[in-house]
Amino acid sequence: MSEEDKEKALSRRRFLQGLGTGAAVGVAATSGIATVLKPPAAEKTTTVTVSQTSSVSGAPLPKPQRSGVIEYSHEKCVGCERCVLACALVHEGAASINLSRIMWREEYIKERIQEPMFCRQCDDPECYWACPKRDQALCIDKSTGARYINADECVGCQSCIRACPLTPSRIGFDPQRKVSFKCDLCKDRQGGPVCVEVCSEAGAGKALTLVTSVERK
Amino acid sequence: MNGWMGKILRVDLSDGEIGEIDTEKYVPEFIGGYGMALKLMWDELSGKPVPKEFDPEAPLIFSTGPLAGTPAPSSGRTEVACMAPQSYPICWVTDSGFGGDFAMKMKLAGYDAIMFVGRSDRPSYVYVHDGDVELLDGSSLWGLYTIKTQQLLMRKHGADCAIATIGPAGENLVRLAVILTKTENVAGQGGFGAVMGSKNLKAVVVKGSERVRVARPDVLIEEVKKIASELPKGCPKGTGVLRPLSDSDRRGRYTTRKHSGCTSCGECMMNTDAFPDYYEGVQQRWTGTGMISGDMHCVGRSAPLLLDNDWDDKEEAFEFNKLADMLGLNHWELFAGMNWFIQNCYNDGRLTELMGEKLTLNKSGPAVFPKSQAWTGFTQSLAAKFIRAIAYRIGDGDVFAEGSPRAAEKLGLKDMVWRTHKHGYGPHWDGRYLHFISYPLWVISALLWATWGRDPFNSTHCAVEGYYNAVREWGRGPVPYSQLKVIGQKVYGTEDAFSGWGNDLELGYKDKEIVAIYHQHRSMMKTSLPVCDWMFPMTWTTATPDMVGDYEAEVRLFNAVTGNSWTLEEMLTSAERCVNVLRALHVRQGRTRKDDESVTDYFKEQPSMHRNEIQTLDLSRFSALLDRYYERRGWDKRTGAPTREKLESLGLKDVASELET
Repeated sequence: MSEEDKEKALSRRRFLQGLGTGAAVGVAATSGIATVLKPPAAEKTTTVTVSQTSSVSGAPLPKPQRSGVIEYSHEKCVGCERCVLACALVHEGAASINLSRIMWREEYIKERIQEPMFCRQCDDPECYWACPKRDQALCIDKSTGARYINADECVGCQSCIRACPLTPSRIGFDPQRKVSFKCDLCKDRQGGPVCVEVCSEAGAGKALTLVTSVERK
Repeated sequence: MNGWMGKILRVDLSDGEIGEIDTEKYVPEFIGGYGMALKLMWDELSGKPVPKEFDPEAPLIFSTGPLAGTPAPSSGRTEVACMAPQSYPICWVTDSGFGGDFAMKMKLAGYDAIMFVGRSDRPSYVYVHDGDVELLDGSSLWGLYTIKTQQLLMRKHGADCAIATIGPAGENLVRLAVILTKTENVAGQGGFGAVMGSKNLKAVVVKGSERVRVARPDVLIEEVKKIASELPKGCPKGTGVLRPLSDSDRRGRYTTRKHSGCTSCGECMMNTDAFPDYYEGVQQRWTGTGMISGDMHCVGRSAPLLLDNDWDDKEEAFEFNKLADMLGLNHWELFAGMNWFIQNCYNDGRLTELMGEKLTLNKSGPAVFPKSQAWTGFTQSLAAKFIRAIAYRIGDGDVFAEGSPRAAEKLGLKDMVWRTHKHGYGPHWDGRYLHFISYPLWVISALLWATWGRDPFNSTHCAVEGYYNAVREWGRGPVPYSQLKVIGQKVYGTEDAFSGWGNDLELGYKDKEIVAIYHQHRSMMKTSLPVCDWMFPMTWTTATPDMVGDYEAEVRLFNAVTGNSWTLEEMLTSAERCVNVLRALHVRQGRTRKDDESVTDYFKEQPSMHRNEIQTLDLSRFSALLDRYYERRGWDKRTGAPTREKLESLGLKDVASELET
């Protein structure tokens, strides 16, 4: 996460806490039926310690297992965008920017920025809680812990996109198939995340590394 | 289609008519990029007289190939092709490429190439997005610097578009005007910025959300990994040793960071043989995301060599470099062409004043061996005044805006300009001025320069610069000279590819036509696929015992993306087809063997800088070499024109017929 992202994510959490929304409100996700969208702000989780509660029983839901994550080193990145294109290639069979799970930030006139932006695979994944078809559309992968989207089940409501605490949202939307897509840590791919594989080793070595759920601090 | 987008855009700026051409008509036979652009141009001009560079009919083509927009290393190249205003005396058709992400975004907008013909009646720019094409009023942009133009266009069309634009130099038809994208990625040599200016076309804006289809994604990913890891062990640029970045490479306001040049690459930015120190402590406002002014790249480093070789005076140097970028001028010609012409004239007492100032230049220049301190000695104020005057055509600047050979004609200095300029272009890795390569490498340079449309190193850096840097005895690289026999046999089919080093007059000319032709084909491959001129082909490596590199890498990338299963030979045949179309275009423009031979006096009179080696060109041996070159190419030895037999064997019957009429 870039500094700016962190700041935005943090400040919004503080803001919500300030509003006193306090304990989390459960999302109205029941068995496989898309539900009416709630106003996004009211739904936000606001703490990292308290997890979601079941809207049915009111009992706290267990926090999902921890995920691995792609870590990015600004110092090592040569800004080539290869990860962005390879990501789309592996997931969509075609190279694309719009369909990449990796967002790209670029500014070359006032500043000099070229950097990929990755899903943080949050410990407390707001996208996951926001999904009306939780565990069917937005799921947790048992082996990597990746929070991923099952496109076959996704109803395209974009709740997850809005729920993402990062700016820009790390979840994208495919207007043709009308489904959301996000980083799944290439859970089905032999060899793991393709972005890490293709990352340039020029200079100081790869800018991207996969930190597994066990290694993650 | 896999790799290609399937459509080529044709914009007639005169009447605003917009048409589309199927890419399928041209590929895979003409690969893409420059190769495809040449046949596109041939067809556009079929049955019509060949236009002059500034005629509305001159087709200006932005073209890229199947690899662009994919993760293939160094594939983010766009080629610009047209009759080149910088060329002299005839504006031979040629190309110049730029990096950045324009190629990718043009494809995501839906097109493999965009061809502009005609002339807009007022300043305009073209906005292409997802198959929509808008010809828009550019009056409010006319006169603006390149960077400002991009800023305003991004405000209007979004920060995610890619923009190729010209500065005041292009608008004023300066023959050394570039087309620039981002901060420093330019199509420099050729002066194509002036062609855009002549068409009243200020900018081309592309963006889109299409996707580039890939036939074998998994294979491509594996090839990307393999090839990217091979590049540091044997890329033609430099010694292949990459400089690691350190944590201090980025520090707030200042930066020492080298950053990406082309989409899907960034390898070159990490190279060692640059001037890492020069870059340190420079204000970030003078640097950009693309190639860094004043960084390792020859394309953006005019200041120190044009000025006083003071690499420490960074702020001033960067300021000057940036000025050239903003005006849209060709750095290379400014510091490795025009300046040396001026310096030669000064040294001979033929030019004493410039811009109303008495000249005081570096008398020991332009070429000093072994250190390449070929600096010219302009004062900063004179240099800035001079390039502004060129861009706006003021006073002496108006004369030099026509490029060195035409300026020489006007100033009565025609007898001086042959020492630096051939076909309108300055020296480039030929053993004289700045690049002090050994004999017989520069014999190959001479042959390349003679038979091509541009400077000797138009996408053929690998042929000579690569080996000079790679060989231990020459450029302190890892390859022993003796190993070139093995590499030569394997890659070129001859042990004598680089034989004759030192003083061997016979061996120095032996089989050099094979190397030149091979590399012209590799050049065509690179500019058509596209991949980087500095990175490919990887003919040598430190990774294998015989040091023969992975010289077929680009073909595998091509196959993975397009789904073909070509061999290198098939790819080289396609490249040969494109080269023959290029030559046929030149012949239509009036090219003869005599034009090819016009480079010889440069090599005959101007000594090489290696004093203990053969220093000048042997005319009779070179003439025989040229004979062998034409023979091997299937071109007429007397005229230098491709024969009908050759053209037909390449499937170019239409070209042969048109050539005869």
